[in-house]
Amino acid sequence: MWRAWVAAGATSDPNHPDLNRYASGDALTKARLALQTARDRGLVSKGEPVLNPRVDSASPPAKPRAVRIRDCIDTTKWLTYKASGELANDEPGGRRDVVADLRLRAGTWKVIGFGIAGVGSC
Amino acid sequence: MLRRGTLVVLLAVALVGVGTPGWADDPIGPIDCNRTPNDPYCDVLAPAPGAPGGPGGGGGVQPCRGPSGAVVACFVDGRGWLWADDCYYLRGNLADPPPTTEAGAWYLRSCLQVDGSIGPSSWAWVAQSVQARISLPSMLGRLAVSRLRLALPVIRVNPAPPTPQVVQVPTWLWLEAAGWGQRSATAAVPGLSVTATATPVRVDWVTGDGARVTCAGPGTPWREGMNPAARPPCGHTYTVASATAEQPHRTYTVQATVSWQVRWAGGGASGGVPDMQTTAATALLVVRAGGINTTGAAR
Repeated sequence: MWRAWVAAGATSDPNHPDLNRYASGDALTKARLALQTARDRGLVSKGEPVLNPRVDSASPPAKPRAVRIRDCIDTTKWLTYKASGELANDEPGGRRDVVADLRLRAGTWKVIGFGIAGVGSC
Repeated sequence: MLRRGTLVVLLAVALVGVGTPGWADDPIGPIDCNRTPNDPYCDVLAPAPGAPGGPGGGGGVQPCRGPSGAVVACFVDGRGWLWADDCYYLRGNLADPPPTTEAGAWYLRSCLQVDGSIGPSSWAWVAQSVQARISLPSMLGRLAVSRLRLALPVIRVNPAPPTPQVVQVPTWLWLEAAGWGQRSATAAVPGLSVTATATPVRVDWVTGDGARVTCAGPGTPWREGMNPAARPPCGHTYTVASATAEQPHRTYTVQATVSWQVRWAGGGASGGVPDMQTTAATALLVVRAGGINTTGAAR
């Protein structure tokens, strides 16, 4: 999902087709909201977050169909830029505590919901 | 002045404009938990340094803040309520067909500019699945629910420990009346207040010998003069002693779980959330008849 978000962020496109492939429901809505807001401000994003995911829980344990992931993502190299190419402002990114729920549907894992805590939360 | 846009706004995150001023300039922007403290996913995560309170924390009325962090009006006449994306939303009557197949409604959307002024309005389609969650009363309702402080049950038993229970003699179980009653909490922004109420509806007792007893109320206190052998309104009759010859002090753990029905109401709306639970436990010594004398614990 992050890769899709990064790809969609290059043009701040809330309807980027990759989003649909890796996210649904609440998760898709949230990613689109973030992208739509950036688009409304004329901003795009460059770079990508550094991920460090671990499985928090999985059910059923033997053959999981639902997994909760915890992550501490680092966004210092994933920032928003004006159309002119300069940074939107000088607020740095940072480490953010992340929780995400994934479901196995039709053989594909999709993020169905997530939360991202403020910078400095992990 | 009003442009008819086809912008489809898919708002997911409820927000009462609570947040730390400014945000990091990574693309997380409006879905940062600092700005959406009512998102249940954010309850799972640790608050960032400087975030307003923790989950369910804080108190009083939080001001709404705009993109630059300055305090702005949460509600503006003719523009509506401020949401997570720094735009005001006001439900409108636009006859245009919806731009998607998803049911929803047209809203006038007016966004705050960086200088704090409100920009021009445009029409936005807000999906029905999102409307209920972003409606201000429901957001405040969730906040009010998180502020409920439910009393922990206090278990009472007859015969009162340290007197042991005796097999085949009814054990009366009840909870102290002080903890049994409706609780409420309120969350508000200027002009709108929503109150959540929790009502205790049931006690599930786990008696420690493998039995479960459900009582609709807190139970009836046993009072002096009542027949201790009478069948109690809420209680349990043990058939197997907890104490054995080898372990004369072995006890059963009795657990009481109170279920609370939780609802919120205000601003012309109301709703419910899943029941909440509070629980307490105590140890009970259960002996065979005649065991009272052999344990020496009788009065």
